[in-house]
Amino acid sequence: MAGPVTLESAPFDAVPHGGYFHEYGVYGIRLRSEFPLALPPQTGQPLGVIDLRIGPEDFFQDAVRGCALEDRTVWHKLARLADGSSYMHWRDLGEFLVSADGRQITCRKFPDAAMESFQVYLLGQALAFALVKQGFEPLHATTLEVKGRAVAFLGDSGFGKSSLAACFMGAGHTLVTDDMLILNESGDGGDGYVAYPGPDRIKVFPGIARRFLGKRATGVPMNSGTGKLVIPIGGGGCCHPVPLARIYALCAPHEVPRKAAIRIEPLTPREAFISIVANTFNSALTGADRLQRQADAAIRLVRSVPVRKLFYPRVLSQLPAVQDAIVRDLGA
Amino acid sequence: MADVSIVSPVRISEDVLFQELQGEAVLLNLKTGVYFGLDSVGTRIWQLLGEHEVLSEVVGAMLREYDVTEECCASDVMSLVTRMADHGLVAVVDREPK
Repeated sequence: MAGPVTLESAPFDAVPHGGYFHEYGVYGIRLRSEFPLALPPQTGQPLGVIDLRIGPEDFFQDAVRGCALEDRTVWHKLARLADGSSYMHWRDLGEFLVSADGRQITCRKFPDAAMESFQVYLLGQALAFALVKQGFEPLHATTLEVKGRAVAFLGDSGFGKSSLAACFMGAGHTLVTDDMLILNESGDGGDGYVAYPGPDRIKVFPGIARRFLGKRATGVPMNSGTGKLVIPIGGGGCCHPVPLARIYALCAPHEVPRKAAIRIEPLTPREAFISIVANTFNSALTGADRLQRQADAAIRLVRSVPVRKLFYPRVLSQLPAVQDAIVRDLGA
Repeated sequence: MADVSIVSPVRISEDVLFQELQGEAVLLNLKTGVYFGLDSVGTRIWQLLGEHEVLSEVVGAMLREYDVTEECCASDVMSLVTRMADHGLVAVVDREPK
């Protein structure tokens, strides 16, 4: 058997040999990979299994030949193939093909892309497609462990989830996941959920990182379109599922003036439901079956976990006070 | 904008998922993937749309349950149903939904 294949060393026109040298665990999922990743080994019974393969350039060219590519953003394209698989392309980063059943992701990192940035999209957007195809409902949420319980923050990109997370981390709390949240009903006879740990890194702006993460504040740019850095936590992240205590939906930054007070208000079940579905990690797969499943999952979650709306001014110096308010709310 | 009148026969579209949440509701248009929220009054109007064939009957039922003038009730019902029709949640029977 040939030696380990790495994304950096493999010629990109090589045919994958089909051997999975590496096994990892993330989001409760076992990943069997042809190449090394910055992830821990899988422990315990996984929620699912996904295989990661390297594909040469012509593999992807053949796959999307004749397909219409949808421009999701100026630098992200998507195509739905006739066999049910999904193709994703990020300019200057890489491309991915997720099988129809979600059990395999074939990927190709572009030569000048940083490995850390590539893994962000592999273990985020691409993995989310696979997880949705397997029946999971990932949320776009940043989650911290506070006194043994998970606290999830929902919000659009730019709402300040990661900044708030960095503040919590600076105060000694542990990051469960930075971007994508996978929940599972705890199955202990109760009606709770557990949150599964994501990759051991956070994506945050340099100034935020320096203020709250200190010496850990070094990383590589996430992509060419943002100033955010991908910062490895270096073993300081969460490594086990954590019971979910509360979900906070962050208000939009423009909703709160700079001198306004911090407020936490309960949401009605309808408002909570809308917050949950509005913060799905994957809004591209919109078949009726998936939408029905997504709605059912959101209903069950809303009936089990309190969802509150967090209003706070986006002032950096106020983040510790926001953190204190959340910790007090958790204890109430 | 949908053409809705008080005598319009209206039916709920087949591609709509309805979920009640403690007196309020959410509607999901399974064709478009768009969600809509209904407060308690809107939820009751939706339920009545499923029980009656024309809007005048829906208004009649609302007048029996709520303290509101007929003019105001009719206006509110038609306004809501018009928006629902525009988003494909209901259809006026002699027109195809969007």
